[in-house]
Amino acid sequence: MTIEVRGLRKRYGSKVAVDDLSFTVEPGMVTGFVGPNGAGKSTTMRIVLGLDAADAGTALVGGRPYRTLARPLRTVGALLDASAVHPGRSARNHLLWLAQSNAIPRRRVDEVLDLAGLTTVAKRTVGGFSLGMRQRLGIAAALLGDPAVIIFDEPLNGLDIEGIQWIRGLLRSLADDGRAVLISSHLMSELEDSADHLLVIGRGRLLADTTVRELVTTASGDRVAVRTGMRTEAMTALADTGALATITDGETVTVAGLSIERVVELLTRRGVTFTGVSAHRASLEEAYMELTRDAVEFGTAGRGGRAAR
Amino acid sequence: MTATAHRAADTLPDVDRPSFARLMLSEWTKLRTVRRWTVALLAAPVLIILVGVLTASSSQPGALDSPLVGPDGTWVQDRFHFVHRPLTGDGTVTTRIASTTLEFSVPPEDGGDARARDVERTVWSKAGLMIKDGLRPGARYAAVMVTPGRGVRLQSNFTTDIAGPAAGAPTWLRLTRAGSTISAFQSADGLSWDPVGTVTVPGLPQTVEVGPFVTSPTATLLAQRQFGSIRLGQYPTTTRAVFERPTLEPAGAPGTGSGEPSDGWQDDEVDDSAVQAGTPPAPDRAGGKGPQAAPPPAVWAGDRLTLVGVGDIAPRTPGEDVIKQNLTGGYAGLMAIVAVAVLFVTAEYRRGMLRTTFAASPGRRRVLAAKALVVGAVAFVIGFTASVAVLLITQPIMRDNGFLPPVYPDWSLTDPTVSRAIVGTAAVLAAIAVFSLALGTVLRRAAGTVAAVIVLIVLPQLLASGLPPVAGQWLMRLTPAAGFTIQQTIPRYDHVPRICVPENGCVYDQPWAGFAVICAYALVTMAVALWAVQRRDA
Repeated sequence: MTIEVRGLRKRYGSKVAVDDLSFTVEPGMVTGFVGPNGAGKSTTMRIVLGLDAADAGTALVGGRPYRTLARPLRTVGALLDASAVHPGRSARNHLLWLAQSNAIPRRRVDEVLDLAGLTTVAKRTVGGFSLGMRQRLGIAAALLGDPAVIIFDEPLNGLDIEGIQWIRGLLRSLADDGRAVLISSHLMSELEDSADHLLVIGRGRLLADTTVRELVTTASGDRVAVRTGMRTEAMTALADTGALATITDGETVTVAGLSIERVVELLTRRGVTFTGVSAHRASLEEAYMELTRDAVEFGTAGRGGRAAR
Repeated sequence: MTATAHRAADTLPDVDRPSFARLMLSEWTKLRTVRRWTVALLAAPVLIILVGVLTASSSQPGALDSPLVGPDGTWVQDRFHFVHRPLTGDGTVTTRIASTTLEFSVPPEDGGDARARDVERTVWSKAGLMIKDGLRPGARYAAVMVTPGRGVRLQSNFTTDIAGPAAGAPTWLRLTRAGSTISAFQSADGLSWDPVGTVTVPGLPQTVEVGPFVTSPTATLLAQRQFGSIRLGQYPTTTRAVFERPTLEPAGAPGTGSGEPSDGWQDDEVDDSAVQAGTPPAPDRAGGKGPQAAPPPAVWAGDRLTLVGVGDIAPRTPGEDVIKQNLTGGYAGLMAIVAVAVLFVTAEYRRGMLRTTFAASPGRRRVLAAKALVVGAVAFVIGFTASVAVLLITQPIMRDNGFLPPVYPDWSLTDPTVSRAIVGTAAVLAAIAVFSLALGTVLRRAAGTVAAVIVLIVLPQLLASGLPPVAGQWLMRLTPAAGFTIQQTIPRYDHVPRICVPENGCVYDQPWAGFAVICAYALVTMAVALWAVQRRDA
């Protein structure tokens, strides 16, 4: 079962949240949905779940609009906001009403409590739960109906190492079961080890629909890093050719669009001394940073910018 | 689980939607699993009972004047001027009423001519023919009469009233007895007769008194109001009626044999205030001026009989509705119910829980309907059990405080009016709960919604006493608290005028009319809410 999004558009007032977005989430793998804060990830997920209405385009789950599913929890398990539970209700009762609404047998509640490691706190009210416990409860709720499609919005947010490892293991096994798994994050590093496929989104537009490896390869391109004590001279020499040169740290100038041989030639001709020249290998984080540079909604002070440094 | 295993599951046909009952079960689980809500819901019946018991303990009946009862035990008044003769067995009495004149005075400060027209419009003075079981006040009777503005009427045993032709004096009237069946007729010329109606007066003895009668009550009208107080205007009236040729067939025992038309007719004032020898004279609840002086005796001029009457022949009702009063706690109980009903939906908006709900059940209108039914059913059960409990607890208290028959008749839970008040209270609470939930859905804010509902219910009660009576009454009629008129248990008689003071609960004559108002609030708001949840992004 897949998630298919075609030509999706959504605006809130004058703000365009999603702009002509199309992608497919395939079964049997974990698809990472990544983009800066405000890029439209949560909006897209809400539209897929039939919560918000799209202005244009379609979002289908297993070939059907979500709202036509009779017992949606048995098809799609979603975690949008771990805090969206009434603090006065116990974990067990929260799962119980959900199960009842989709005619899911009561014993399944205990099964998912056990799966999420919440059995011992099942009777405690959610108000006293830590964020990590709430994430676990949200995931337990998503798994209630044994769904073929999983949608988690920022599932790793606020989790400790143990929790992150638990979710990574869970996502892997869910994908290995043949389920379609879509998880979002604004941090590429969170998805680096878990996602098989990546959807990069910025300002509501799809920036990349690719695998992790491809993204790194494309982004590193033909960039050359030069270690030199004469940064200014090196910049001038390289910029004269029209190439984009940037100072990346105290002793390094990075240039894009020139081969390593051409760089050496240019520097030698101008008499710029250098201690090293290397073809630059970008990290996934940098690749992502480059993709979304123009799309960072809240400026470089946002977490997306800081994480890329 | 393997990939293939899950692919197999994918091919399962999408099963039917879960039944509506399951959705309700789910919403019920939500409602009962938040402890604060459960506590508030349990507080509701406690409040209803507590307020009811406090009200009952502190209430005293008004001064009892004349606890005269009619044939069926109803509290009645029975005073009129009667010119009569005995009739044994079946017979017919006929007369022409040449004229009736209503006399009264209105002090100029009460509004003069306009007020005088109000009195004429309101007062049920009666002049006509009567068949009565002797002269004892409260005894069985049937009578045909002309009334100002309400045409010819046939009345019997105080509570029965049948409307006849819309004729007035001068007119012919006739009353015929056949066993316990009495028929009335009216005629413009004394030749062709139109039936007015037929009544059965069971237990009428072989010999009865028959003849012309006149009575004329004291009109009571709202006179004036200042903030929080009301003055009632009392306007005693007198009616002078001229009868021509009253005749009884068969004539029965002759009188003195003088041959005069008046021969054999006796002149008596039937007066309920006179027979209460043991009771000290107490002011009439409505009047406050004491009984009127007896009218002058009947005057015969040939076959013309001039008869002046004061008083009334009618059922009486107490000022306090014992059942409604003891169910006052409904107002207190509904505060708790309103709060929970509002939070039941606004809590979902506040925490984004609504997304979880609508993701689990995309049929949003079904979800909202299930929520409304659950919260309505809970309010109904609370209202029903608390009403039954409070009435059972307060019944002996009220009796001890002197609320006794005939003024305050005995009642049981199974009396139709009492059952209606109980079920009605429960239904009103249910409707208000649904209204609150729907408004909460539309507004999406708890504080604003609760404030709006409470203001809508309580404010009219406070304002009504300060507004002109008509404005106050409409305010009460059009706001949700009108629903509580369904608690009315005092019988209303169309042939007994009633002064209507809105803050005393006189909102609608028909108990169901007020209930319809709150139902309209609930349904309209619910329709808006259903439209809104479907249209809005969750």
